[in-house]
Amino acid sequence: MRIGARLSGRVVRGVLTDGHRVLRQSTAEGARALHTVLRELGEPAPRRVCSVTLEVSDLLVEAVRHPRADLSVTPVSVLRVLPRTPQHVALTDHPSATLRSFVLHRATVCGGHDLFGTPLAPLDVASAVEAAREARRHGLGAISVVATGAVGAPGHERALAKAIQSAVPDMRVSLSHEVGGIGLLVRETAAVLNAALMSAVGRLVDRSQRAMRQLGDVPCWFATGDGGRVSAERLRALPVLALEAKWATTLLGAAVLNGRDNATIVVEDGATCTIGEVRDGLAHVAADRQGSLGVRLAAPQPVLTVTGVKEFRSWPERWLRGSPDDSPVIVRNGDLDLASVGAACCEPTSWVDHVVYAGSTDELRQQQRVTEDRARGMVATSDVPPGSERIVESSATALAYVRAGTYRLRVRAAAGGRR
Amino acid sequence: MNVVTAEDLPALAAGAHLLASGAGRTDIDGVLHWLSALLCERGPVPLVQPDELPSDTACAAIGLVGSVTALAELPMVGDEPLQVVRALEARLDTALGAVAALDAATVNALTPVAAAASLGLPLVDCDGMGRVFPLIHQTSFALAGRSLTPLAAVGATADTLVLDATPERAERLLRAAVNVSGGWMLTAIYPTTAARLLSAGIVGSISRAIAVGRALLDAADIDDLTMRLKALVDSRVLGTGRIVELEHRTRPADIGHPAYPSSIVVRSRAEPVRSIRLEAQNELLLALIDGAVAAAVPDIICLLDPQDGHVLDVESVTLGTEVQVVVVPAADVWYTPQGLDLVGPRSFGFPLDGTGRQGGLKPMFRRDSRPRHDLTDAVADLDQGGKAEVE
Repeated sequence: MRIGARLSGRVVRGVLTDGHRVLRQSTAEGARALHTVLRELGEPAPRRVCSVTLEVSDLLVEAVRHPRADLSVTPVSVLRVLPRTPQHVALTDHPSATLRSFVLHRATVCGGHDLFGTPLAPLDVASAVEAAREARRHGLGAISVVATGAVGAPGHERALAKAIQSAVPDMRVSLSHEVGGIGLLVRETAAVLNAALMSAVGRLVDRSQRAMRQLGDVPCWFATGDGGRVSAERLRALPVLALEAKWATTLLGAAVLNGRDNATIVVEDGATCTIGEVRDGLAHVAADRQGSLGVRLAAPQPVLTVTGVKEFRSWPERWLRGSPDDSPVIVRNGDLDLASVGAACCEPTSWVDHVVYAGSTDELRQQQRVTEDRARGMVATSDVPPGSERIVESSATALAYVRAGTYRLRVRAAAGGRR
Repeated sequence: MNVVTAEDLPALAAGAHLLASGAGRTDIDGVLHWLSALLCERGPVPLVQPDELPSDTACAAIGLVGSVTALAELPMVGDEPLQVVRALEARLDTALGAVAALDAATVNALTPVAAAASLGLPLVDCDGMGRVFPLIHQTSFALAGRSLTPLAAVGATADTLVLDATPERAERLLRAAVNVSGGWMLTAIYPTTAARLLSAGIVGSISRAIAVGRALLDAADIDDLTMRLKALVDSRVLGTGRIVELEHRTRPADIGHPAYPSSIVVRSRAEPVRSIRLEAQNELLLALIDGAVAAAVPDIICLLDPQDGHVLDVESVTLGTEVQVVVVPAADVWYTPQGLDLVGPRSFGFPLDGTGRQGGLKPMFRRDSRPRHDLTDAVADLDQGGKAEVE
């Protein structure tokens, strides 16, 4: 038996599931809403509840857009590591006004690697430490370190984290390579959001774990934007992973309730129609997409098409063109919260996105196997049954206009078999 | 005289993405942010036709050589346009009076605007490709006998290179420098005069990219976009479907070309179900429908998202991605025998004879075009040799 719950504003909606059947649902509002929902679902459960997964993306988006006293973003400092300092303020900044609004201090220090892991410049540790001290003098308690080439060569980011934590022990440090992805700005987005949300998410996780105590020794998970789930400790370090989880779990919930592993899901909500897909039992996701914060993210999130209900109903084939099956799952506003169902049913996932060099097809296959093993390993450390890890997607695309043999590898792994 | 303003940049970037023939990349937000700030500070960039300038005005093409993915990872510092033009001017001992685009596709539609804004120079409304090709000598400038050297190149690491070499050696030397300089370098290349740009350049390419971009941004849906692109550039849709195969090193590669070849198979969903095989190496080069050639380089083969009309690139697609395959005719000059020798299917290793536009395609630049480069001009220019005139 599992519990899935969605936290949105002051409201918590939850479901108790057995396999893919919903046994019970509960909704509560107010400061103790999660406590109430867990009690209402947990106490009458016919068997032991083996996991609780919470979907918190609405809270995180609200924290960024409309900070409130108990859940607000922390202003952060950004430390870029590049071979040279940008000569124009627009190149030192982030293009997103949302991101800029909570970056109160910036610095660039010398260092970084190219796409192939070759150092471009020696790392200037002393300047980085001085920048962190300066950020602290400005009253900032979090710093994001973003080094060029860090996905393939994270050494400079790690060295700076160590030096900063040694010199300014109370400074929280987030590193761009921890989320991954190609592109300095998309990784900066992730690192800044992680640093800015770390404190608020820490409080949220603490509250959630207090509410969980009534259920005994039941693990608490958090739903992620790629349709998977992470532990509370991983969410504390990487809050950005939970962004956009609402739609990933909604798609999954709709598919589960309809007994489908592959389906186009159409969600009609008021005048808006949101269309996504579930493939092989998982929400169809992609990296480098703009999410609800209007900023491009390296972390994968659901691929959605949004249109009007009227437009969809007048010509459904136009919106479903190319979908994997001929009978989409169409869901409308109802009592059951699909995201809670999806949260209850989701499994751990992992995503690796990096650049490799392979001189031959055999070498490329070998690099893919290594990357797939790494992705499986990430899933295996998420308390899943041994041997249940599977590769969902593994692709290699040749990068244009660089040394022949340069590929971008993207691998997605998940636990559990198909339904 | 026209101008390029900050408000034109989204359309220019969108149009340039389509003209990249699958080789573009969407996350050039940083470049757009910087360039927009630059144009707001310094005012719009004058966009001039070659014959609006004094005929002896010294010009050069500006373009980034290397990977846009590398650029996303290692952004520009901002002084590269100024540094690269100053390096070329020092070599030529002549100040440039205007800049043009090496290719008005990918981020290279934006870098000449940045150079013009940084230097306070007009931008000539022309380029050397009308799309993008992988090699720096695959240009209408080269076809007309213009020399690509001396050239200057500057990287984000401040590496500065001034190169005198034959075109083929310049390509290899520059590529080697790019690979150790972070994956990209900004170049000032093909020094020439305004008069030569008129005959050797593909005139109107910046305006055309903006117009294509406006169609992409303004279209209400994919069907509206299809009609707009058909009217504007005579595009045609080869099919819509899902990527079912994505393979690499599927054919031998010319070591002179960056990146290895790959193949994409799209299974169309409409009846009758067809298999659209796309051959790529940097750009999309060949499209076969059920084994028959439907389009071939120099045709511009593009991928669109069939739901929202966004341009997709080869680097971003994976198995299961839904695509619409669209073909846009290239500039006239590429369908001449000399043009096909330089950039036709055989030059990319396909045993096909380029026979011009497949399926009765019309020229992309058929409307509002300035006087065109033609075969007579090319032969006349070749007779004069490939010496840089600005020296």
